[in-house]
This record gives sequence, structure tokens and C-alpha cells, in this order.
Amino acid sequence: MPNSESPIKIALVGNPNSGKTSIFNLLTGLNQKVGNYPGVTVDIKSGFFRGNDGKKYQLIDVPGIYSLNPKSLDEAVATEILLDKNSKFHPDLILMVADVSNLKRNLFLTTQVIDLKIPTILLMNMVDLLPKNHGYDFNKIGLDFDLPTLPISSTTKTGFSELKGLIQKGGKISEKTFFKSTVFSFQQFIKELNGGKSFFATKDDTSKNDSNLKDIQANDSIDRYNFINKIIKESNTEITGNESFKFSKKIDSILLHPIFGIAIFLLILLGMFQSIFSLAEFPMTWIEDFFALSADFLREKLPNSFLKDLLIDGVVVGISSVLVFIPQITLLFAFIIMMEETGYMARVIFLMDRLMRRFGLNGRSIIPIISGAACAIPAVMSTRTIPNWKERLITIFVTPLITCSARLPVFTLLIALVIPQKMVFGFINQQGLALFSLYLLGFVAAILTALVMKFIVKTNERSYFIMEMPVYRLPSFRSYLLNIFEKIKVFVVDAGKIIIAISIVIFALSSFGPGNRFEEIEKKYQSKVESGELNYDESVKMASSEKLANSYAGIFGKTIQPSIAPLGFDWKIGIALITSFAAREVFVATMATLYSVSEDEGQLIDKMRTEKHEISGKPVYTLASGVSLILFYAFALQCMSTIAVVYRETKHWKWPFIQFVYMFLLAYLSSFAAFELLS
Amino acid sequence: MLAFVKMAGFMKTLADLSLGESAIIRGFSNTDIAQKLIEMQCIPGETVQMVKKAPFGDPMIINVSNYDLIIRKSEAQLILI
Repeated sequence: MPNSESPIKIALVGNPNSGKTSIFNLLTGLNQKVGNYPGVTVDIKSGFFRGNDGKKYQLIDVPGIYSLNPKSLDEAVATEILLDKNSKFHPDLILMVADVSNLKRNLFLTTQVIDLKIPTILLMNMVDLLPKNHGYDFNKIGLDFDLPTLPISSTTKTGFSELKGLIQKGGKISEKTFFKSTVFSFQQFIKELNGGKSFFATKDDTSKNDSNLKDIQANDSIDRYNFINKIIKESNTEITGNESFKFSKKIDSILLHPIFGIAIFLLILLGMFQSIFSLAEFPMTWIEDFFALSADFLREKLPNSFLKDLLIDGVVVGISSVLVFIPQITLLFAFIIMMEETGYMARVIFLMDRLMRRFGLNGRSIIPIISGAACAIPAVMSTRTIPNWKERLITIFVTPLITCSARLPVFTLLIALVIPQKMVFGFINQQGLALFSLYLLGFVAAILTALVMKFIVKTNERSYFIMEMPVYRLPSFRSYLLNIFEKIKVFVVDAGKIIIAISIVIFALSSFGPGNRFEEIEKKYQSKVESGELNYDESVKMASSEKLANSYAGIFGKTIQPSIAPLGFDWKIGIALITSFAAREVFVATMATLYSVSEDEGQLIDKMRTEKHEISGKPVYTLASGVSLILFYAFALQCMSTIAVVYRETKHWKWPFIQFVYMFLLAYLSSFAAFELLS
Repeated sequence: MLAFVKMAGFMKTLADLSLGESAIIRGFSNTDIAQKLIEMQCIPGETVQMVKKAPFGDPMIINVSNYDLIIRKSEAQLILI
């Protein structure tokens, strides 16, 4: 079969929490990709599979909606896919997923889908959750709606063997019509309600809309529910009596308790935090070791050349700085996706919404803010669950201010250097106290920044907060793993490209110098070795330190010295600031290279302590300059991975740019103030 | 033509319900929110129950047509009972 064959497009349509994604994962497996919906910040997942007849099908996971009445970005995308025949995702067949544990509301969307006159199959999902005596007659419901109907469950795999056969038959255009108007078609009516414009247009003027249309819409919706109520007789009472609903209520009496509920949430966070720190450490070391070994191997086997250096110090370093985050990302998403899929996240949002809203954030912002203490990258990615764009943007903006694990090596080095190891009140270690204050500082800075942004950022999106409280359920294991895998893939591919590119740029800046300076340095040290003045190892270290000082990065460091002198920094710190743009932890390695020591902290601290200013002869690292440097690292956005991921999530360079400038100014001004006050 | 949108201020709203109390939805004081709520099965004539309130009374969980819905206080104040 030729590859160019155009696939038959199938849209998976359903309410949020209707189990669409599990069906999607079971049908497509690893054969899926995430595409950007043209022009907006919504990702559309689609995947491919072959039917029993060998035909190729493209399955499109349409964002979850309750109706074809777009208010949010997600809903606008879903509506456009289903209405616009020119959309590249417009389906040939709709799989309408109805969650039977809330059948009536799910059938409401079904009546609207029927009015689109696209061939449809009605899937009655989660039938395993129904009690034995549920009293629903799915065949009759199928006949009433005039659609082929199949009861399925992705947990027990019920119905999946029949599903492909049903898809092959192509569904059916129902003879029913729910929208009763002689003036409009249903499609025209929806467009008319949106002022005849694109669904993505700002909704400011909806209030000016014909109130007549709104009345028609409200009556139409009520008619649909009347029809559904006629078909579905009162079997609903049995559902409320069902086990999973009772079970959920029992758990909620503890998890939603004003005291225990919040305490348990904090405990879960602590567990998540601990495992991200402790469990991720081992695989992270393995990844680092693996790349260090590969670099050594390549260094030994390859002939000396520029390409060799580029490969080892540019590409390998770049790739390893991407992959080293995978353990943390995996663990974090394992926790977060589990919280989402079991329904616990809805409870957390319920508990935290009020508090977070005061600061312009959302109940859902609590997760990114806490996980930002491990690493801002997965934290920024986890903001996608925030439905309101303004609240999501503020969360993305403030998350990098939280003290992440990459700042830790820098802080420990600098604290050891400038804060004396004394006890406060006889039992609190002053250095430990300094570190704790830095965590607190990050959190306070994030919250205050959010508060300021709350009043600055303008939005046309009206903030609704109507959310279903789902019953607790266990996700399908396979679907769970696929969801985690998909998050990792997105990070590695999208953020990875940018990280590797910047690593190569930094490599180039620090390994080239103008003219023939490098050759002269090499000659100088070679003659020193020949004359016996230095041994070989010493000469290599001193040569590389002198080369760095004469490289473009070094020249850059000296150039910016006048502007960083007010903060108490010399040109060597300037170089470290530049190389740290790749990632903060590079500071320690750069310092080690500059002072020609290995990365052993003790040696490095001794060297830094005795460092004197070239002109004044005063020590470089004092309490004033040390605190100033710490504050700079606390606030400045020196992490290209974060910049890449903020760009990916906001789909615009404007936000990472504003964020970078804001955090830089915050860093510069607070360092300046600290240096002035302390010296 | 049904008049769903009534003058607010003269009627009790959903936000006035205390825990466990039920009431019948009479209408809404905002057209946009009315349509969203109707779609979520909060139809005039349906019975709603106040199930739980978060610390400080906001947001709240209501039960309508045998399922639970979280809404903020600001939305509950637009539902007339």
C-alpha cells in the first residue's frame, strides 16, 4: 500500500473526563504525534492506525467539550474542527464518546453532534462502572438517536474487538434533527451566535448580540434535555446509589476536610518533592556519568580537530544537559498525571482556588509553583492544566523565581565562601539558615510578582469557573504510561533542539579567540613544559584558564566588567555569568576552569577566598559581593531550557523575553542594593 | 419566549443556600453564564443541592441531576432560586 494514501479522518468527541484519551491511547499506541492547531496555543493530538481492512485511519483527539458553544480556547478549536470543512482536522467520521456514569449530560453533546450531519458512531464509555441492575437499554438508546451504538470500557477492554469493525462500516448520519429552525442550519446558527466571525475573535461584544438568538439557544438546549429525559427514564437514581459514587463520597469526607484535606495534600507534595530529589538523583548521575564516559571515549578515539571539540564540548554537552532532566520530568509527571486521572486534582483545585486567586493565580497553579522547586522546566509544562489563559500566563511567568535544584550547587559554594559557619541561638546553623531564607525569598518573589501581574495583564477571556467534580477512578495502566511518555517526548524534541543550539554557541564563544592568541598561549606553555618549569598536567590547566580569559567569552566578560562592577563582580565572574546563561550550575564548572582547579569544592573555595582585585588589591569575595552574587543567581533567568520551554508553552517569543528582562532587572537591582548596603 | 434572565437583587441566589439545603433553579441574572449552566444540566426547574463549601466558603460543590459540580461563589450568585 502506498504511503501517500490519505487517511480517513476520525474525530474523538466527548466531554472532558469522558475517557476519550484512554480510548485514543488504546487505538493508536505509540503511533501518535502532537501538532499545533494553526494560530492558537492549543495542541491537537492525532494518531494513526490500520483498520482490519488495511485502510489507514487518522484519529484526532478533539479537546473535551460540553457543547458546541465555544467560550474557551479549547472549545473554540473543537468547534472549528467540527464545523469548518476546510480545517485540516475536519473529520469524515465522528466517534462520539458518552460517559455512561453521567449519561444525560453526555447525550446533550450527542444531540448537537447529530445536528452536524457527519457520519457518527456512539460509544457508551465506562460501562464497567455501572452497577449490574443499571437498567439502561443501550440498543434502544441507539435506535432513539438513530446511530450505531457500542458499549465499551478502556479499563476492561470491553467492546474494543468490535470497534474496528464498526469503524470500517463508516458510521451513520442520523435521521434525527434536534435544531428546529426554518431560518438557519445548526452550523449557521452557531456561527451567528459568535457574531458570524471566527470563533477565536475576542468575545467582548457578545453582550451586544441579538438577545433573540440567545433565547433561541436557551430554548433549544432545554428542548434537547427534554428529549433526553424522555428516552432515559429514571434509571439515574440507581447510579447515585452505585458503589463508585458512594466510595468517592467517603474518601472526600477526609480529602476535602478543611484541615485534614489540606494536611494530606501537603503530605502528598512532600512525598512528591522527596522522590524528585532523592529517586531522580541516581538515574541523573548515571546519565551524567554515561555522557562523561562517552566524551572521554570520543576524546581518546577521534583525531584532534575542531570537529572533535565541537562534537564533545558542544553537541555531547548539549544533549546531556537535555537528557539529564528526564528522570525529574518523568517522576513529576508520573505524580501529576496520576493526580489528574484519578480525579484527585479536581479536589486540590477546589481546596486551593480561593487562596491562589488572591494572587492572580488559579487553584491549579499550586502544582507548578511547588514543582518549580525541583525544576522549572516540567513545572512550566504542567501549567497546561490551567484553563484560564491569564492565570496560566502568570503562573508560567512566576514559576522560574522558585529556587530550583540547579541553583543549589551555586548557592552551596557561595554560602560556604562568604557566610561564616556560626550558630544562631546556639542551635541553628547560620549557613543552613541562609539557604532556607533563599527558598523563602524565591517563593515570596513569585507570589508578589503574581500579585503585580494580576493588575497589569489584561485579558478578553471571561473567567468562568464551572468544573465537574469527577468520581475517583483508576486510570488504565497502559494509557497512563503513554501519557507520561508523550510529555517526555515533547520536552526532549522541542526544548532539546533549542538547548543544543545554544550549547554550541556558548562552546564556540569560549573556545575561540581573536587573532592568533590561542596559538601563542599554547606555544608559551609548551616551552614552559619543555624547559621543565611546569609539568604537563599543570600546563594544560593553566593554558585552558588563560585561553578562556582570551576567548570571545573572556573578552565579553572584560567588556561587561564596567556594568557589573557596581555589583562587586570582576571579569571572571562576568565570564561565569555569561556561561551560566546555558544553565546556572555551569557557574561552578566555569569557576573551576578559570582558577585552574578540578571541580573539587574545597580547593576552589581556597582559591576564591585569596583572590584579589587586579587594581585595588582588595579581596574579590567579601560578604557584600558574595551576597550580591547569590541574589543575582536567585533572581536572574539564567537557564536556556526554561526560556525554550516558556517559548514552547506560550508559543511566542514575547513572553520569555519579558520574563528574561524582568528577572534580570530584579537580579541587577537587588544585587546592587545588597552590595551598596553591605560594603 | 421564556424569560430566564431576571432582575437580580429581588431573589435569593444559590450562594445563599446552607450546607445540605436544596432548592429549585428559577433563572439566571447573566445571559452568558445561563447558557453554560444550562449545558451543564442546571436547567430552570431542576433541583440543586449545596454539597460542600471550600475553606472561606468559596468555591462550592453543588449537586445537580445526580452529579457534582464545582462553581465559584461569583457564579453561584448569578443563579436565582
